[in-house]
Amino acid sequence: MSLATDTASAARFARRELRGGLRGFRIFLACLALGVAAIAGIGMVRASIQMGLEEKGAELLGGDAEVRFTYRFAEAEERAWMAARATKVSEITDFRSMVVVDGPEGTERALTQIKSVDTAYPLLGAVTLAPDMPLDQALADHGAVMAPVLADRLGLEPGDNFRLGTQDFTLSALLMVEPDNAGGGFSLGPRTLVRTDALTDSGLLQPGTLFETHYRLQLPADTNLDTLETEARARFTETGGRWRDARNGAPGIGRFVDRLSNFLILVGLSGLAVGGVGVSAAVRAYLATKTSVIATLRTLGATRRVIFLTYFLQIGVLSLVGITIGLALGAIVPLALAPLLQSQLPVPAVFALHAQPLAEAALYGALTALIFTLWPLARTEDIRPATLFRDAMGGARLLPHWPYVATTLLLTAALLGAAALFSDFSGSRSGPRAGSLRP
Amino acid sequence: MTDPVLSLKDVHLALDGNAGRVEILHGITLDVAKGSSLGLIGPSGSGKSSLLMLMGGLERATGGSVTALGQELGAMGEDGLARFRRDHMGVVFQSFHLIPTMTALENVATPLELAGHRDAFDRAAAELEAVGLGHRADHYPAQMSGGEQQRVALARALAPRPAILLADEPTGNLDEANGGAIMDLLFGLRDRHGATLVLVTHAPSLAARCDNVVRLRDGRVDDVAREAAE
Repeated sequence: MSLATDTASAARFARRELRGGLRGFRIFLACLALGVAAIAGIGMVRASIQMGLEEKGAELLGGDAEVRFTYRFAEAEERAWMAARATKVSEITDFRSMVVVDGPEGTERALTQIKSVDTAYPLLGAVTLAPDMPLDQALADHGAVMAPVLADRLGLEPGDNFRLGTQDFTLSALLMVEPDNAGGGFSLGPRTLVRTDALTDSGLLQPGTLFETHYRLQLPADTNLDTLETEARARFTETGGRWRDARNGAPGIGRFVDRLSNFLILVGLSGLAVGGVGVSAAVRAYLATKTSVIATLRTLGATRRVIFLTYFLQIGVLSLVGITIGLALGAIVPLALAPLLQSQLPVPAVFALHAQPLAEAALYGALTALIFTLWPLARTEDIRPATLFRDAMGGARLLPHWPYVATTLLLTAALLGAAALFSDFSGSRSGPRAGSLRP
Repeated sequence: MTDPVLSLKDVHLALDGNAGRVEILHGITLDVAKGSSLGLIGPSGSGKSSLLMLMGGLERATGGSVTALGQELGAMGEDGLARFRRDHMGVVFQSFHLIPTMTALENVATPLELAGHRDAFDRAAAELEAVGLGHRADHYPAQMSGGEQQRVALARALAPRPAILLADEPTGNLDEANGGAIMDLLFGLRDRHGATLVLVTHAPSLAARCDNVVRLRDGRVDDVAREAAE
């Protein structure tokens, strides 16, 4: 009999055997479904954040592109190059300093990350202040805004004065939302936002002081970022300018999300492996109840291949059910919790159905089910017809035939390879992507 | 005797158990002629069922040879034996051993499906009619009485038209009336199909319906019964 004929017979027998229902397979289904759901859920959240970072890349960056210098402002020629290519340019400085508050009980000091901006800031998004007021108004006349945690630490309220370097400022409002903060990278202190002009007499932006300048560019819609990036790198490499654009507006966050997700998926895979032991035990228990049926089929003329295929197909169908339940849970739970997650996450996320993480989870689930069910299924070969009238299982070997051992090893290698491949691939997704600024 | 359908020569069977190696059969030699019926009788533990299983290739002899239809069963692999049974043998058990998740019709059709017969279900339906259970075709074993289950098992064994029919105490789990009806069916169908029958039974009256009788005792053929068999 050919493999196709045997498979057809096995499929018919498997379908009839499945009439027995899911009794005895609840643990099998629970182990598989929960493991797949955990991996799918983590993957969905990761993909949602990645899509959020992609879609909001420009907002996180604070512009379509950015040229950054260390310890200096751009020269006139460099400003001219940027102005020629952008529809709008915003200059920002970023550095650490101390906020000094003189009070009746002495002087209070606290570390802060100062951002000084021009009137074009922000090119994208909006600053939210408390009390609500326009940023221009808040920063006028040596006005400043700062993060609530810093104001609270120093006991400052709107209208109070403080000093940066040698310049006095008045706290106009608290900084509730800073649209380009997520892409800013490492920060030692809470934010204080002032006008760059207001720092002229502060002594903080002098030659030799430590500061960075960011030139945010708003570009024409038809700008080819690949071409412009190549041009910028050629133009600024020698002068220390560094390029970043909206395709990868917050690379640090992207890398962090990838690494955290990879770790959590590794935890999920470990859970799936532990669940696999339950899967294996469930299959063993199920097949133990089928000894008589298998021996009867052997008596009637079923070959070992037909028997193996009969139960392989059954377990395959049940695995598909478990994986489907897991995928449904992994897809639905993040979507259902999207409002809560979005409010808690410090980065933007676009919660939607993402096919790739679901496919990854399905692959992990299928490989795990195969790895942990193959050996119990292989034991069906040891069931002889004589089992019908006496215990004829005594001679069962410890290990199945070598093809099953080899297949299990190959599947395990495939699972590990898939985990390595997907984690590497998800890491590469955080890198720059090619293409135009807007389609 | 013409060429025997079944031929056993100096067959031994020993099994390893928790208490050590146990000798079940000691040098059994006998032939079964084509189309004849042979009754195997003897007390419990005499080796009747084990001898039947050896004839069906369900068990392997540890010594001697078992030949069926001219083929040495000991030389065949497990799958070879399964195919041989599928093509040439029908087996009826005391405990019926119907597959509980299959209907009566599907149980009867199973060996035909395994043999690749496209008309498996038509033939199975006809066989069920022959044992008087055409109206129970869609019923599962749990929905049938013991007698009905054994009739389904009989239909299953005879559906592929086997050359050899092996029956291991087919009435052992049935009351007298049902047992008698099953035996009538068994012999009637066997006569119609011309199969060679080997019947294990405790009942001398049933054995008496066979052409030959072999009495086993402690794994050996009883001399008197041997004369009857030959």
